[in-house]
Amino acid sequence: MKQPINKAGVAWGVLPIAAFLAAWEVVARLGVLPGQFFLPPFSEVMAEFYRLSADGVLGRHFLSSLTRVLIGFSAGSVAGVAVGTLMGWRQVVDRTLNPIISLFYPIPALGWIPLLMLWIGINELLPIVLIFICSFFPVLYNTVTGIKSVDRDYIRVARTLGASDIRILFAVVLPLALPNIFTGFRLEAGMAWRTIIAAEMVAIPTGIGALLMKAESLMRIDIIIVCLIVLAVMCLIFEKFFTYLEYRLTAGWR
Amino acid sequence: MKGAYLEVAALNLSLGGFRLSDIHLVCKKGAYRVLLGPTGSGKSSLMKCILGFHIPASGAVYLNGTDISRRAPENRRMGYVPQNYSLFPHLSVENNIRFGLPHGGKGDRDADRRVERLCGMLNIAHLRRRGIRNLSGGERQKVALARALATEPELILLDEPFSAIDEGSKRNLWIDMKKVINEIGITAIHITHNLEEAYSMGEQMSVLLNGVIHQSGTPEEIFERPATKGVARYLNYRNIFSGVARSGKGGTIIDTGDFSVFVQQPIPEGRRMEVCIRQQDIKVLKTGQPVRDALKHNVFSGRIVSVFALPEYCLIYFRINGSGRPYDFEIKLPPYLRERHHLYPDKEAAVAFWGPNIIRFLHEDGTGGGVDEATDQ
Repeated sequence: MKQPINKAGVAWGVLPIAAFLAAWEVVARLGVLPGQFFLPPFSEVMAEFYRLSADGVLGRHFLSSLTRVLIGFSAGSVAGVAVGTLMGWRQVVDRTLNPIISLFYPIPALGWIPLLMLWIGINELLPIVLIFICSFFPVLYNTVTGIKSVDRDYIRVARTLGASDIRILFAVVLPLALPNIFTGFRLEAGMAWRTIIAAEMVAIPTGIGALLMKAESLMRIDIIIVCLIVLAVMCLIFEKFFTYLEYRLTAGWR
Repeated sequence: MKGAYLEVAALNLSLGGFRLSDIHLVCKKGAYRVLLGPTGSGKSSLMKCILGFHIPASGAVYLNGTDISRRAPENRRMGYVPQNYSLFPHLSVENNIRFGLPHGGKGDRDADRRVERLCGMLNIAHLRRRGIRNLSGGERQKVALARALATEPELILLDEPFSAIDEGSKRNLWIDMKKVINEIGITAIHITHNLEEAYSMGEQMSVLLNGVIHQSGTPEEIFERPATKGVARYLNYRNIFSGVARSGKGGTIIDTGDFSVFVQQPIPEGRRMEVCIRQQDIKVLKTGQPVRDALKHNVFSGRIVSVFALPEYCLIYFRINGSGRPYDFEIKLPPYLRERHHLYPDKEAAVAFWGPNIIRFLHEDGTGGGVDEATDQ
């Protein structure tokens, strides 16, 4: 059954943002800050957004970033779920890999940049590997936690019903671990965008991060804000997408 | 053991600091055995041994004469209904029931037939498309039972199947579940800590206390003649006394210190023993009326110390004249007798019990309960 739209909830989501944007516009126009240079009005930022979009500049940089995020995040997540599943399901794999993974996990994704620049060079693979690293570990840990937290009685019952290990894993354990796995996806979807922007600012000449750095060198605060808005919106869209997907897959039984 | 369908023989298991010791248990084909014991007594551990989830340190589990002790749980063909039912929450009722069934080709038709039959027997056909979270406790129990029975196992093990059911619904479900299991004719082992449930459902019963089977027999045998003090205490029997035997006219007198009881059986002089008189076996005598011959050997005069009138029965605490204890007997009476005999605190009264109702414990606690196994089938 379709849920009725909660108008009050929508209003609480939209009105504070509208109020913030209006305040921004007024403060910038009144010249309260040293000048429009430091804080251009929201309307001018939107006009610049339109110009950059119409020129194709924003689209080109955005597509570069998006492609890197999609490839790196997908590969990192698939690998994280696969290794996490093995670690959660087989104690011997967990005992073998856990010490190694615990050693690498604390290294921030951006900390790998110098090493990767020397190993891979400055090319398309560099940001993809960075996103892979940034996605892999959290998804892996959430998958391990999800699988280990499945009540053993479900597994016992499935075994008494004659199910094989593989069937138990795919038909019982993984579906029940989905909420935890999705927590990993949700957290890392936003983090992937934050990481790619940082990586592009430091080492890659294309992408939203690179556009951000160019704007900084030209002292174009309006473009910087456009880039930041794109980043914020993409983080939000990715997180909401996984929230929705999790809801579709698990809300029926949770 | 001859005639045994399931036999647990001399099974020992250590789990951390807990031990199951020298467990003997037998179940005839089609029998319904209740394993009764308090929380932490090892009932679930024993069930997991039978299912194959715990490997015993010694001893064996036989099914239909075959030693299955080393067989994997998935190959034992045993149905299992865990305490919380563990219905797969991401599957519908029907898919839960079908989980263990073959699918594809001829298997589908066979599975359909079994699901239809079980849903009909358990009155859950209308729930087939529902999700698990939308079921009541009783409905969940029926679905879990259907799922376990769908694979047509050799034996079904039910772990506290009514613990998640509210009191009001339990009794109807006892009847429903027993009916279905009898109809299918499957051998069942049902574990519970609930005395009423055990008495009502079990055809055979075993009492497990601290990892040891204290007694096995019919519910009547166990409730009327607990073999050990541990069983008597677990059954909430209060009047348990320690005494020394001496010979008396036509039987034996057991001196407890404050009073003596008489039993007709000869007992060697000087033997120290423990006896129990169930609360419901003690009669309050009507004043001015002669005592029946059957009761006259064990008549005690004294005073009622306190009375608790509960909705279903009345508890009377009685002290024998000259006794140094706060009270000597706890007596359970139907509520109407309290009014009829004007039983109230401080009233002088006389109580009596029949000699054969005095329970003498056959075994020391924690030993020997399993010897009944040979005869209780």
